[in-house]
Amino acid sequence: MLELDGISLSFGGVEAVDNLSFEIPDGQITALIGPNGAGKTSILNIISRFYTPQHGTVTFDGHDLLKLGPSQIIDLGIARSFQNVALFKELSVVDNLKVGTDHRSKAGLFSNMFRLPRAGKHEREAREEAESVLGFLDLESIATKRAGDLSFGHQKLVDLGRALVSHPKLLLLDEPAAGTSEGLKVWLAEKIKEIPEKFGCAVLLIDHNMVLVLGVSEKVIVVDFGSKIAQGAPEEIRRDPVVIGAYLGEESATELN
Amino acid sequence: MAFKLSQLRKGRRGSQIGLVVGAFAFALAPAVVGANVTTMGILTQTIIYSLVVVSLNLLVGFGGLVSIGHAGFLAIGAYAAGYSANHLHLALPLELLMAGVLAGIVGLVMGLPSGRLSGNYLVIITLGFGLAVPQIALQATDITNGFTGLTIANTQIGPILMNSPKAMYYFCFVVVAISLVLILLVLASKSGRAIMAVRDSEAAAAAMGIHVARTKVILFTFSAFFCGIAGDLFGHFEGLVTAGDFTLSLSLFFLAAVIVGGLGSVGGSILGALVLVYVQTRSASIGVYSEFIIGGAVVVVLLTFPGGIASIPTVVARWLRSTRGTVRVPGEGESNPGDALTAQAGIGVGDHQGASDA
Repeated sequence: MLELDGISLSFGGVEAVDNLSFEIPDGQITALIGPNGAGKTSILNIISRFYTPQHGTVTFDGHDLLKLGPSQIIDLGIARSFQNVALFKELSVVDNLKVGTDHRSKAGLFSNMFRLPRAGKHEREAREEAESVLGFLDLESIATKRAGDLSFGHQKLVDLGRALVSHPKLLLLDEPAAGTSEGLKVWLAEKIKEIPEKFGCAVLLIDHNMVLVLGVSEKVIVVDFGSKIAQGAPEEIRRDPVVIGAYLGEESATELN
Repeated sequence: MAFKLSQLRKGRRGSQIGLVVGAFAFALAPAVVGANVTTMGILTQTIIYSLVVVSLNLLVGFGGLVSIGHAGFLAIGAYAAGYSANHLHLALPLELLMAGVLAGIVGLVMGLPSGRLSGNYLVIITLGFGLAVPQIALQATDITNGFTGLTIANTQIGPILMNSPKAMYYFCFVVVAISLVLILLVLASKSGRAIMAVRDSEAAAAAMGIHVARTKVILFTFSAFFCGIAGDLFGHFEGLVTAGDFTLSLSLFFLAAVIVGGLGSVGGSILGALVLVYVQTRSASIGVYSEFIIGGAVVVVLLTFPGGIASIPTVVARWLRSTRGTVRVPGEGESNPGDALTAQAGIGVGDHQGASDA
């Protein structure tokens, strides 16, 4: 469904992504891993259109993504979470999630001002869908809290929920477990595994956490210095000598096996 | 835990009750404090300024954009009222709409660069606008009657002439109340969430499908529209408007009222307008000190309750609640977390650290 072909991105001479190609299959969890500075978040920012690569093409369900702006791709079904949670901190948790549903409403300012039927209908649907995702993530009890007042772990979950509620076909998760407690990481891994079936979408997961990555993904892509150095099933990646050399390190690899 | 709809609304219930109580207080005020000319004047001005301050708060508090030229939009509305009353003789709803649309168009033009310019430059644009409007008003004598000022004929709804202070008060009350309801409906909708989302995180807003630049331009137009309507009321209330009514200092007073009342609070803005009118009416006896007092009020509020007067109940409630327990994060505090997953991944839970640092 998503295909990157020959992508190169540089910032003032520094190559962040170098002639990278990969494909993300439908309905699966694909992990993108690599050391710090390998270009993972840059790749995600290209897909979500915050960055435009100098070379290469990105296609999603036959659409040329590079022709679109960052606010247009959610209508194609691409939603993302943020590494350093970018919640709407003055809004309540449930309103944060409602924003995730808002791209589906065609109601403009005028319809909303006079609460025309289509505006009212969207508000009801938005609330129902927000409730359902809050239930999935076990966040009902904090639904009315101001997002900025939440713990970091809760904020990460709301960030994930806001992307989920948008009905994505492809969900981009940028280190969903970074900076959270061990208990939450494990709980989150279980939840992420449920996402493709429950929400009918593919997941592209970026994370350092090997427990999460190897535990939940069906396909792993390993990048280093902006290039792909390996790709395959988690078991293959775990034994790949190139990956061990570049990323996992001898000691961790021994433990992994 | 069962999830109830009432829970969602609980957070807003306090401020909603406040607004309803406030509306009743303003509706009954003439009967309570007596409908003499002075009191009615003060109350009418408070109501008109409430709409101005709310319209500015839309921009500053809800949208995170600053305008220090909002008196300019007030002027456009006031002169539109004068032109209509003296020349066009439009029906009142049409005249209000015209005042709002004219101010809105100017707001739209000013808002156009807001998508590309950072906040500071936008402030300069609104400053230029605020300074230019009185000068333009002095020159455009055909419409504004220049230095002498424009006398505005009495407002008329059907056969009823708005010639008593009480009639003028209720006329302004109805228009402002309807405007505030429309504003509140927008704020509680997709459009309102988009405005606040852009304020809190432009990147996340864009990722959620919100066109950031377009949202800012719409917000500028929306804010100017309602300030124009307030200007129309202002024109009829004053009966005579001169270029000197719309100074930079008035724009700054509006901004001060937004801050004192509370950024991002409609109810707070009404309280801010109340404070502003009180200080202005006292300025006859305290003279130049009125600016000093308003400036001082801003400093005191920012130091004590940065969220403004409107935040006092919330701050107190939070302080009272602060001793209660916190909400559990899923997965936290459970025994033997992650046994299943650890086994699957084949490594200890703590080992990811080494990998991520590699």
